[in-house]
Amino acid sequence: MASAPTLSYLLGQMAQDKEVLNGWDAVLNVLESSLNAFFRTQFQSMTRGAPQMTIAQVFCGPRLTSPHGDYCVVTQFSFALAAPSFVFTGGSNTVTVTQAIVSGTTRSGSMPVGQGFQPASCGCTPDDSRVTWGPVQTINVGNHPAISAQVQLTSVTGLINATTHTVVLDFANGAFTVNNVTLQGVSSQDLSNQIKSWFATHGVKYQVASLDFSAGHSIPSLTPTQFQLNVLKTNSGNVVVQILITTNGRPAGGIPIVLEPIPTASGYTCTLMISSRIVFTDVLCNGFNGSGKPFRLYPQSPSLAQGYSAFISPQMHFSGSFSYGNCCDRTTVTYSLYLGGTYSGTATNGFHLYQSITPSGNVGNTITVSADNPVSLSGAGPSQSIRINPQPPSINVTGGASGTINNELQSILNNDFKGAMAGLSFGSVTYFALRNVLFPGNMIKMGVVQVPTDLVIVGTFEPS
Amino acid sequence: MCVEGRGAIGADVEDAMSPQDSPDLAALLAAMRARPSVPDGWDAVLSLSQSAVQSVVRRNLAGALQTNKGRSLLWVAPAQANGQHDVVALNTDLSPPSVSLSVADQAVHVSFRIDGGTQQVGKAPAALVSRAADTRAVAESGGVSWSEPVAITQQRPLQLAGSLPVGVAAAADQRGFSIGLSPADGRLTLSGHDAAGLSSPAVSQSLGNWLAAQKVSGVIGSVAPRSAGGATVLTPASVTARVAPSLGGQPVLQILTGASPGAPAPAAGAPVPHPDPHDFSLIVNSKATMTLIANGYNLGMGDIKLVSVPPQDGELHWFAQTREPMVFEGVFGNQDGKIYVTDRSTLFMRFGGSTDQGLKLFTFIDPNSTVRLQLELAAHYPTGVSGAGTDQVVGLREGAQSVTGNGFYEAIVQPQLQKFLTGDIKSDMSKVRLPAVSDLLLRDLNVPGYGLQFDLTALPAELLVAGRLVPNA
Repeated sequence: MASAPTLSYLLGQMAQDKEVLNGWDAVLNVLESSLNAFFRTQFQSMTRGAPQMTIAQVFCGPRLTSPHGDYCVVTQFSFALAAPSFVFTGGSNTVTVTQAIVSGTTRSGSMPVGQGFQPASCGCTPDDSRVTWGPVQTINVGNHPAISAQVQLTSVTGLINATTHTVVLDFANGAFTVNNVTLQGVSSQDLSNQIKSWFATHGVKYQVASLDFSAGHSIPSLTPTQFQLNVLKTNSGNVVVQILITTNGRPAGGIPIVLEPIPTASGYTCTLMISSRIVFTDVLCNGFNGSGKPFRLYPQSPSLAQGYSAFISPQMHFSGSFSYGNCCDRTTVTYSLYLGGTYSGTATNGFHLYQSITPSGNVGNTITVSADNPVSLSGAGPSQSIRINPQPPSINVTGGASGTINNELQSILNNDFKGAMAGLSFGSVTYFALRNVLFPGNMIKMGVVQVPTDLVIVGTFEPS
Repeated sequence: MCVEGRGAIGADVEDAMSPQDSPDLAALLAAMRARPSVPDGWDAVLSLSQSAVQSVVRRNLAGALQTNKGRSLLWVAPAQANGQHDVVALNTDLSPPSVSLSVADQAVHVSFRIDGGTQQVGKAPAALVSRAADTRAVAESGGVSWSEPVAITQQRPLQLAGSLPVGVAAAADQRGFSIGLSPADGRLTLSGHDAAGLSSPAVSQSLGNWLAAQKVSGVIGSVAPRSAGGATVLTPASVTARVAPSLGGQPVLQILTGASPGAPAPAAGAPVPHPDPHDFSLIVNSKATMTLIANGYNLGMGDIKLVSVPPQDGELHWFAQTREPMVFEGVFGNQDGKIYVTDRSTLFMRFGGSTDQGLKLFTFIDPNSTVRLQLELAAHYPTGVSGAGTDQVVGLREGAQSVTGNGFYEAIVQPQLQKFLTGDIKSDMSKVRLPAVSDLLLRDLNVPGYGLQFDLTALPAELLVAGRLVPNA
């Protein structure tokens, strides 16, 4: 039984499986229904608000010979098309677009032609006077006539600006079929070709999303350089269009391993996931290290599957000695213990700091430090921002030294770590989410941001 | 605390006692813990029970109690009446007297019951008495006018009773001290059924001459450095004696010894600890005890050495502690060399008495320490006796040791403490013997006719050794 695509399920899986992007630098997941909404908006824009799109075409058949002389059959049609429906297919970059023919007429006639006649350049216009027209035929909508097309998702540049790559459904590249419409003397293939010709001539394209490859105010690791598309049908039945983005990494061979990338059961329609490599290296560590504190963070990744975390340097160090014996023959035992620390991702508590003594001999975890640094959102629209709200640390020191060590650790954590974390900037992340990733007429309305190893922004769309 | 028979310290014995077995003993040890028992200036107190004193006194009198074989008891009244002195003569064999100790008189009460023999009274001319050399010369001069002898019977008994003060004198060999009775200073009074015949002032006179003539020894004990090993902290240089009430209500004769001369006379009156019904008990003050323990311990091979320390911090008793402190130093910093906190803790292991576990470990942390390590150290070393006869030696034996501490610094220190607490200290402490106690009790002290058998040892703070007087073979 498929798990409900809830937010907790998504965060839980990401926290459990760590590096879920499978090598991609960022992945944008958009629900099919959201894209359909974008397409409907674009359709209405193309029809200037009319509910239907009228396509009309006049075309000539090949030169025919008769005793009265050579001629060609001229056909004209005019179809009123309803708004398209787009169906994405898992594992395919081809979208099936279907538009019902809600009304239409056809008419055919003949036109004398001479030697060297080329049908493609017959130059006929609707109701051309050179044509001896037959009667106008009305499409029988009772047969549910429709046109459909297999249209491939492609990328084009220049639709927005020179650096923006837009994923589009370009109908000029579609493979059309016409259903339940028969024109006398016209093959289905010819009719389909004429329809495709109309869409090509009129430049009908639907934008899915755009990626701006310009760095702007961002950083290289959050500036797209390449992308691929993937359509995923999840176990819960959601169809998700994934834009697999490469920034300063290399394109990965696989696809993300997130089972339900969009928590639709929690009301969300998109997610933006950013690799832990980028989050921990370029956001957390670089941001922390720029705070001027005496401690630095360094990214670490024991394996690709484990994703990234960050360790603290220098480690805190406990050293000393214990001596006993008599004045002239004392035994001295020395010790040297390190209190290392890491920041790692969590499902719901942001960056989690954990420090513990490296066990040595009889000394186990006699000092532990933990602190949550939850990530939160503020602002609206293009001013949405992400920040960290460091929480008070929890320090566990036992024994007679608990007072002094606890106090000193509190001071260090509050002054050096908490301050640096609070000042961490996620500007490059929000820039990426709001400016590098563009949607036609919409922008991401961030609802939740978490760092379950990879960073994930969960949201919906709102008009931009 | 332990009572043992012969054999090595630690061997099980059938008559072992513990405070749990004896509520009175537990109370006594608690009292010893509550305040020092050995008076200031003195190092040890030997208490002899009343019955023990009686045994010694009776033994001293043995052989001198037959008076009807030409050695009659004679009294001549010191004053004349009508030109004559009353003379009283008793011919009888004296039974062993009953002996009791008198706190009030600081003396030994002896009482002879006379229920046989004869009594005879007479008159001696004053001129005869004045020229006679002694009483017996008067009686044997032939000038006394005697009445008829009167038989003394069980129905008509007489009683000869009185007090003999306890005193200390230089021993005959000038090498020590003799503790005993002073017959010359005692007064024995004859009383009986025929009061009229005995009313003469003649019978209320010292019998010192008679006792001396009988070669009766008043010595109850003597103390002199006789051990061959040289002086110890218990080798007596001064001795005194007193009669004191015990906590149990029975009077005891106490012999106090000091290793240095000039000790002040002890205050009298307060009850003193003595474990009834033991014949004797020796209490060594905590200073000497801890010095002996430290010296004994330091004979071991371990790195840690001990020293005895006066009472501190409200404590009442001396204790032993590690001569050099154990020092813990801790630095909290980072790999770049920055130091946030420097801690230092100076610890001493201290060993003091306990009412139930012998020598007991407790720790002391120098108040100037910046960190107080939260360690629980537990160790105890029960006292015991090894050997037999004159080879009896009081010492310590092995007890339990443990160190617990779960804190950060504690986890660092704990294994080291555990290591040498169960190693060197355990080994060296269980080998501690106190031969100086044996020297004092078994060699320096002499109780005429008796040896001492150690039956009980305890270390509530001062050392307690108690036992029996065993007649010499």
